[in-house]
Amino acid sequence: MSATGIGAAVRRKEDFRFVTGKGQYTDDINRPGQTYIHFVRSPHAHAKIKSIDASEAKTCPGVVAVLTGADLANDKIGNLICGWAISSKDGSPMKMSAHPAIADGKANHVGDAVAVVIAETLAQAKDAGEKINIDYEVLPAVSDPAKAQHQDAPLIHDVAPNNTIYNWHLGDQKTTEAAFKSAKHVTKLDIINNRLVPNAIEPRAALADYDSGNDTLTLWNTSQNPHVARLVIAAFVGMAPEHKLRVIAPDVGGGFGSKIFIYPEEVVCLWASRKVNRPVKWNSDRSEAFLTDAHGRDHVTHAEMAFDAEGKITALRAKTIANLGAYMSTFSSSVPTYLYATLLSGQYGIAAIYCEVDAVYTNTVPVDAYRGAGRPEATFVVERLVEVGARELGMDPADLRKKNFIKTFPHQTPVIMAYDAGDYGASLKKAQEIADVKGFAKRKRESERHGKLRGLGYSTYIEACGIAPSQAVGSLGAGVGLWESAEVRVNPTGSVEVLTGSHSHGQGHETTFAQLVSEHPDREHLDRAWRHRQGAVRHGHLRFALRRGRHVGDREGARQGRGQGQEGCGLHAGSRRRRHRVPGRQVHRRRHRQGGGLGRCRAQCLCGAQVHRRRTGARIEGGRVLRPDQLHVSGRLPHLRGRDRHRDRPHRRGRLDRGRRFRRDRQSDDRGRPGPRRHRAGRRPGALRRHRVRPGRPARDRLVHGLRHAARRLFAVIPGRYHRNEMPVEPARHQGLRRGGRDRGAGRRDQRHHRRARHRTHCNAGHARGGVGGVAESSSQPQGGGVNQEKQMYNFTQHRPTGLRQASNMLGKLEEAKILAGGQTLIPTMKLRLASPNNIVDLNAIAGELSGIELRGRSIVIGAMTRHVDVADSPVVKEHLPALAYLAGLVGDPAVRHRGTLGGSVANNDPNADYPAACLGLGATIITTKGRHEADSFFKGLFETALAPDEIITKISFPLAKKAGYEKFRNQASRFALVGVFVGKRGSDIRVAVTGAGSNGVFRVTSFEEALKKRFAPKSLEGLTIPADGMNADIHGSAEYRAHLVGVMARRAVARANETSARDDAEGGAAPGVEFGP
Amino acid sequence: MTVNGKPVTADADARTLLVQYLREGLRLTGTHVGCDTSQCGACVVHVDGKAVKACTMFAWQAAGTNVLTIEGLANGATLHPMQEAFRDNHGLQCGFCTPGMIMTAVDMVRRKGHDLDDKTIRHELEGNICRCTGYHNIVKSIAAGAKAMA
Repeated sequence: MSATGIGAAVRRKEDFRFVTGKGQYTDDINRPGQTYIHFVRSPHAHAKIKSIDASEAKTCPGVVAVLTGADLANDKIGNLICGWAISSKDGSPMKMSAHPAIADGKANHVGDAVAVVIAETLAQAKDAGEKINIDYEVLPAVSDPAKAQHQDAPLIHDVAPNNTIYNWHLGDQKTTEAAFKSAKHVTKLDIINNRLVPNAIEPRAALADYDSGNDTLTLWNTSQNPHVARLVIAAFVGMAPEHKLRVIAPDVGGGFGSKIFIYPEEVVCLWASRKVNRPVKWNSDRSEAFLTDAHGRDHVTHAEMAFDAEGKITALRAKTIANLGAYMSTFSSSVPTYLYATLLSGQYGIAAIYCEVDAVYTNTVPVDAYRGAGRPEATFVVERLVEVGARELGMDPADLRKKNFIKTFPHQTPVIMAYDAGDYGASLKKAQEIADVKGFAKRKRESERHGKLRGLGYSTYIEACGIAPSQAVGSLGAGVGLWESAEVRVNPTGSVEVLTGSHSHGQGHETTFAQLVSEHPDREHLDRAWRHRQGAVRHGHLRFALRRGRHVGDREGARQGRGQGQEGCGLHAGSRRRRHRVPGRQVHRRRHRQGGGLGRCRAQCLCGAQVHRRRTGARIEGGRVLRPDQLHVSGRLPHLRGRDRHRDRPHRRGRLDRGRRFRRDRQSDDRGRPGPRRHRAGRRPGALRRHRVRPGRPARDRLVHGLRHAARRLFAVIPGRYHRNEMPVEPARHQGLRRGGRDRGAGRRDQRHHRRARHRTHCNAGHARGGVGGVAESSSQPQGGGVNQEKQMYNFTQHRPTGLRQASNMLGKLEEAKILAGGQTLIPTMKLRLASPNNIVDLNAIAGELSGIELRGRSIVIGAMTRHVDVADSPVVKEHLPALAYLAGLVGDPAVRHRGTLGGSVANNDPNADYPAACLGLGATIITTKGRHEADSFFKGLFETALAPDEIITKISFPLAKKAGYEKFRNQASRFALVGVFVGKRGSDIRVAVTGAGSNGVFRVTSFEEALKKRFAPKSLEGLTIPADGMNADIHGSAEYRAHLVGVMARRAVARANETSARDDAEGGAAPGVEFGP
Repeated sequence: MTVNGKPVTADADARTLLVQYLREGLRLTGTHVGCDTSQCGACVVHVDGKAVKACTMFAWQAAGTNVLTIEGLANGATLHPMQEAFRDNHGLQCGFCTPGMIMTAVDMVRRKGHDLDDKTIRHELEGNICRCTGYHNIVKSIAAGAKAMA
């Protein structure tokens, strides 16, 4: 390893621009004369579009054009396609439906584009979008993959009877059935692998610019593989021939697979740009992303594992229904087939495996590859079977695994894959050591003493990454992309430029490729060159005919192993030979047999066959679509025999406290020669965290059943980092495992075992828990067909009063006026167009006279415009009413606390807000421009208070309590209270106030108060419950769960109140610092 | 208002958010927008020295204030110690959340001092979401940056 070459921890070259805000993402780019496009989307999961009346919208200010699916069809714009052909077991091809970029005649999922408005500004486009009248005939919909094939399920596409896309299989059914017949024990499981929403932090975007002079189109988009986008948009959609279409993906803010695919919005922007002869820009909102970015997973599986008398696994069979959503996304077909079933052998020597997969259409957002794609699903199936099998057999899960590990190599599995080397037992042993499994029993006893649960979970997995370049994937039906290119230019001055088809969206390619170049055998020459130019690397530009798809290995590979090796070969050779252009080639269509580890697989020319078969009318120009052995590459294109693979032995163990937190995670990895350490180090935990970023099954139903704002709330499911802990990963590189000097990829290994081990740990601990968090449902709906109206609110008039009286007068006189205090609720609500005041009266203009914290006798009086941060940090509040300071420190996040105000929170009376609980729990007095309100009579229900329309809160007086405490179970994302309980004790006046739980807002629990009057201690509340009637129920928690939490939080709040009080006594009244979390 | 030390004036719709004005009006595109609901923190800037979400404040509300964005943090070619720390500790991958993370981190040091433990940093980062890294290196970066700022 050189000081700067692969494996060295160097600073990333690209980071300077990112840390200085000079990165250039798609939304940062603008073109002269640019217009903005707004997509009007179906609010229905399944609906016939009877008519679209855009006459009013077309007359709206700033509107340039309104276009529909019929216009798209008239212009003969082709459909989006799935690029991997999978055949059913009877040999019939998959039933790919038409996928127009704008629905024509029928909308098949919530969010399906129905019309677009192009206008001078985004706000104008959105305003006009609301004027489009769409007459829908709502049709029955199906969202559950398990029900999609039922006879009474609505048919989504005529081309696919029973909504079945294919019925595929892998393995030997007869041998497997025979093994099951002779089995001593069979473990059976039904497994649901729920749908996930990828949520890259940068929303997708597209900017299309048509140059009428040259008749060329340029598209800037948030793509992980612009070259595949160009291929598909040229060859299949037929937008323009490739030489007249340029696709540029600048800096991309994460993708995780979801930015691989070619999306309708990109096609529509290109088409619209040519139509209106101006640049057209689209930028997704987060809400829109939930409805339009391809989702992940969504499998329903029944799996069985056969064991003999000694606990040897003799066979495995699985039947999976894979939900591909309403349309087949670009690589969707491959995920539940060749990326899934080929790994069902895991690390175990299983003689017989048979897997059937039915891919189905449902009225849901399309599903495609996401972080691991198919492979985590396989690991989940195998490892759950082994774990449950061990329990049923009464064996130690680790022993059962060791007994079944593959020990001799090479090993041919019954599901295509051949493993070349491995030492699984050694990895497991290492993982057990670093997790201190021997000490587990003792730790479990300790946990139990503290009323905690502790579990031990195992998961092992095998990864297949670096799928291509290989003839293998072509033989398996891969049709689009999956090929890589690189070009190395040694410039006349001696500097070196590297251009690759592999695109970086966070992986640090610029650094890695520079490292590769610096490692060239001709070091002296290249080192100098690299220093000279700092290894200028460009990526993502379409420079050559030879290219590959994003699946290749670049996502991990370019940094982390196999892909590096592949790239390296091309780079090194290329740098010696200078460059060669790929000569033009005719489209070939040829079959040939391929032997080796893949058995008898049909091989086809990759793209050519697809193009011809589908008769898309695409023009293939300049020999752009070639078979690998036809290519003359500037360098060497390594052809692999099957996929590369690497293997690891992960192992996790976690203690679960009531907050469901993992105390320890341990993993041992073997991925051959490590890539750049610094880059890898940060990446794994991100992948691990994704399992918390999911809408969960209830959310899936919400997504597809037309709740327009469900998607927005779902973002609230993405947890923050307070609750996270990181998982140390130790490389366990075993000598002698590398063959032929090859490195192994690192892939998404973390995903599969992490989730499985987590699941196992929970099962082991006997612990189950509901969801978290809660954001209020709003009954307010936007008019018209838009499901996406964000970021551009309705306009209004702002008013900045110079005094309270003027503010009050404004409120009384102005039509539909609202007060703007901190704005942390009002502004997001307006962005979502859930609130549309005509007039805003900004109290920030007179914040001075409404702010301040003061001790007055036995009360603390706080001005209404006092920010949360000032309450949290106030020495006065900390000393005399620490529970209130603690509560203020739990509101939102630091930036929200810098703006949000006490008065705003209390006046808004959000059912999940914190301050109402403090007001009620302390018996506060709310002082307004019109008088005084006692807290008991102030809060009237959801978002309702005793305030008159022109009444403004000026201050709130909190009586000092002898004891007070607040405990909150938080929504991990929004920080709102799922349940918050404030207890206050002033002499004999004891109050228990609950927020977050009640469907009618904050309330008191008299039964708890009575119990605490006897003795103010947590024990007094033991056994006491409140009824679930009247509790909120949503995706974050059921009514029963919230009712249960009220009891738990009340006990904790009392304990905290007593603890604070005792500490005050001991420390002579010194205020405790703000503490956080359970 | 003053943005990164330079006085600026503009007429804008009442509904123009501060982040829209910064990005579209001033072409300061380092401040990003990642969500609709004030949760992701990609848009965090400093207004009068305090970290706020520029997507949850109207541009006109910032009139008369001093706004600092990620573009104004470095002193010419010399990076701010927090920027340098993110670079040194690989505290970023795709870079989209990074400006907000750094602005939040600098504010964190202002309020919590230079010796920040893991727990404090994680709690203070609640308003910023990163989908790539899992925060481990971000926490390391902020701890290192805080020390370097001393």
